[in-house]
Amino acid sequence: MIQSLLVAMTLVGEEGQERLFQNAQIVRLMARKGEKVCAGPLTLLIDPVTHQPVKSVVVDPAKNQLIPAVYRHPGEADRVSVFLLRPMEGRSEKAVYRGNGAEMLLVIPDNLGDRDVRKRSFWSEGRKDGRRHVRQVTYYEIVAYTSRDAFAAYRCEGAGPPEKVGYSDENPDGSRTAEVVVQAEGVHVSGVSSPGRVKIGQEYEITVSIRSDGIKGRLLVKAIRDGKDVQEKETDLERRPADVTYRYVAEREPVEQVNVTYRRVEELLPEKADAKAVAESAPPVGFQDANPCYEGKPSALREGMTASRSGSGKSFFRPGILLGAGGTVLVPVAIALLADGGKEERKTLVQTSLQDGDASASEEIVLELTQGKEKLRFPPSKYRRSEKESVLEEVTTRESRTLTPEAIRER
Amino acid sequence: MTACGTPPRTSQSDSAFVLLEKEGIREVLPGTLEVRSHRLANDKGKVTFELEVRSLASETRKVRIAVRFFDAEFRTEYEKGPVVFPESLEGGAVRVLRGSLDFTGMPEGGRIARMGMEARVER
Repeated sequence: MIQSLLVAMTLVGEEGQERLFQNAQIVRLMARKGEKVCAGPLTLLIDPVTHQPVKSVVVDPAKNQLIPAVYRHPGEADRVSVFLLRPMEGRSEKAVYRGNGAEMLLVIPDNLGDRDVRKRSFWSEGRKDGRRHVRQVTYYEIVAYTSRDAFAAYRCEGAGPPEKVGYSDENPDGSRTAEVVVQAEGVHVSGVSSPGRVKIGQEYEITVSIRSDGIKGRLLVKAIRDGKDVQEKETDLERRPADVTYRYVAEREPVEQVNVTYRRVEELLPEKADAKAVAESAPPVGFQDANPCYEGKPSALREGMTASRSGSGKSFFRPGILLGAGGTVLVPVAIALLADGGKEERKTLVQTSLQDGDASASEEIVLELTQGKEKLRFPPSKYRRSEKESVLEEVTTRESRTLTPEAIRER
Repeated sequence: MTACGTPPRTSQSDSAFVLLEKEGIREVLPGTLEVRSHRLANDKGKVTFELEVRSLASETRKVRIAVRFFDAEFRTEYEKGPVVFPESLEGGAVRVLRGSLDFTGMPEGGRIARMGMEARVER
């Protein structure tokens, strides 16, 4: 502890060290054993073991550690505060605040989980000059945080103690940012990326990066709201070399959390399998999670993200994720144009290609559309793989959604 | 000094706060500073503002101008850190102060509709 403080004093500089450490306040933050206490953007923590300045410290509340945090106030280069963070076991229900005359120290209970603190908005509510006063706590005023608490220090001249504090993860349009939790036993899954905003009816993609080649297993994606599963989807992982993109539709209501679970069904395949051999043994092509039919106005299609219309009278749509080991894929698309009670149907065959070695790809296909029509219909009901215009396979989308690559090959 | 220890108010105050509600020129510190125009726009919590101030003094003055945000009825104040402009205004100088703040995520952040200005002459 003494060494940590010495390092902190070196960081702060000689000037005002005595005052800083005399006034250093102990701030309790809730954390479980093995969890991290993370520093805010303008904070440096002193590791109690190595005595080095770090941005996060893995803690054990049973050890009664005190972690010095050196915080530089935003917009004031010459103003530094030192706090002593004390990780505690348990769960806080109420916010804790302490004012030292010049600034307000506030610990806001917040189940951050794996969510980025930057995507949170904290606020306190009280009274100032006889008026109700709502103060937003900015990202740069967060001194430190754990998965359960956020500790902020901010200046608020003339305002009394906060009567209410809270946080919000709502986006300006009222949607919420989904949290992605990865539970991968035995297999390292990293680099999960999810969209920033999730709306009802919106289709979005979750990309999971798997570090090792040749993994075979299943990916389970759960959407959770208010602690309950609202949607669960499962997809096969077959010879994924790197990234797996999973498309997900928020059908009923915005989700607050997306759980990605990886289940290993087989041991790892032989390392660095010959790419050509893999390509030959791979199924010709598979359809994953495609929308069998979409009907609606062009504007609605844009919201659905399966199709959109540009101003030039062209529309493009994504038929889903095409799985294959390379080659050219022909996707027949029937377009029904409905206007003024009449119906005109046109079928076209759109060619798209999958790059060699790509296990997963999505293609945008541009279709010429007649102007002045009100409704579009895109049933990408069939697909076939073609090499030099020869049709090899033809499977309906609805069937192929549940088909394994082996079943597709048998057909 | 008076008996109670507070200095007598022989001169005007060197700081003032005004709620900017109506259009037009508004004197903030008599003989020192006036607001010529103000503009505030709120797009679902993303607030942009513009303030045109003019020095009425004959000599150069250092003025600290702070902007504060309110709902339409001036009942609730919304704050996201202090918005301060330390200005050095020559006699008769006109200065346009602009800024933008993101209040999204704050409860009722979309209700910000008015602003106020606090000015203090620094000596």
